[in-house]
Amino acid sequence: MKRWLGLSFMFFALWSCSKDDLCSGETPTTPLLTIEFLDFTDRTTPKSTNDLAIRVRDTDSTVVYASISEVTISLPLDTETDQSLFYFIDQASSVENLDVVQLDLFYRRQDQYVNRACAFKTIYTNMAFESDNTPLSWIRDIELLTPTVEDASVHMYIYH
Amino acid sequence: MRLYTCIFIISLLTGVSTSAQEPEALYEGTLPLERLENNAAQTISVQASDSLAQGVKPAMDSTKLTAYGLRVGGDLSKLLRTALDQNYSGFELVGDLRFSKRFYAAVELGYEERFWSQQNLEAQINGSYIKLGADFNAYRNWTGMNNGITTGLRYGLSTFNNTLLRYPVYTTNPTFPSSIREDNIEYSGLTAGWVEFILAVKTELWSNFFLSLNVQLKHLIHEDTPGNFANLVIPGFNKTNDFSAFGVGYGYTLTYFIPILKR
Repeated sequence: MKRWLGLSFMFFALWSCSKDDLCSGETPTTPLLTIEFLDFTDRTTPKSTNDLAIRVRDTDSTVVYASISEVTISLPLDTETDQSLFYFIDQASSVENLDVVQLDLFYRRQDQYVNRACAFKTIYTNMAFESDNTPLSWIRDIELLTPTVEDASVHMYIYH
Repeated sequence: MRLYTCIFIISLLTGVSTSAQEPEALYEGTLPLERLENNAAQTISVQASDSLAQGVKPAMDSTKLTAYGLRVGGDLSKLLRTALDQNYSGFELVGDLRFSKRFYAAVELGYEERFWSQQNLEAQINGSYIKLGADFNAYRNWTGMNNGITTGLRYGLSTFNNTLLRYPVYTTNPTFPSSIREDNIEYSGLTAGWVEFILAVKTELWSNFFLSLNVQLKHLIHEDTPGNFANLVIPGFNKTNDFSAFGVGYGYTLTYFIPILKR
């Protein structure tokens, strides 16, 4: 009789201890656009940014990064529209050397089911970009490596 | 909160398993004879064994007939849940047929409509199911009684529709506002099958009326996965698990026994 009682408690234990209602940080969800910065003269050498600020080109210029000096950055893309427009600001803290380049990204979106805790993610296909950089801008060249953004690999090179 | 519930349950479990080490209580047809003889050193219990043994013997010798027949009824818990839970409506009919002294063929038929809503993910699932299998009564009754502690196995099969109503897109970066999409994608004609272990306690309330409490442990064998979504709930199986094939359930049934023959 007591054995049965024990067994039935096991059932209730299994019941309440399910762990699938929190989205784990390790689960791949909506991907970010990974950009690697390279040297313009020696095109294979990574070159860190110099006090780079990135802002969204919207009415209140939402800050994505205030100031970073990194070789690789991850840029979020809008999941609501087929485009994300940015300002890439070199030496953002300085007044006289500040250099602004526009970088616009265009794409198609596709929602994919992940699991019940994370629900859906958006992946981006048909990637394209536009920029107003000139030979005088801090960004000299931009190269898109892949037409789809669905994982954490490097998607774009920026030469400066 | 969940953590505390788990700790509480685990503490209950350990409590139950330690107390299970004690000698089993006196029950089942074979009464106290040997047990009390073991204690023969105590004169008081020797006297007790004498009187008890004499009291029981006539009942054991009696050769009352066993009734075979059909037991039919329904699940009360599902009706109650339909009344109380806005996200659930359903019913289940149950039946079993006693074909030997301790074995029963069993069937459950049910229909469920469920609304899943968690963190802006919303889905509507509705469908019917059948469960077929057998029960074994592990409880040895005193003569003339018909209670049971049964263990059983079932194969469950469900056909259902799964409609995705609303979903959020999960983003890790707060730059762009995360979006919730209103949608209405229906996946219909899905099927799923599972095996189920069922443990039940059955008590005869009045003559031929049985009340039964059961718990079910299920293991999903096959399912039709809807294209770009998942079966969060399967009628009859209940909530599925993203990381394992196990599921659980419970029932509280009231049944009526129709005797067909006595042997």
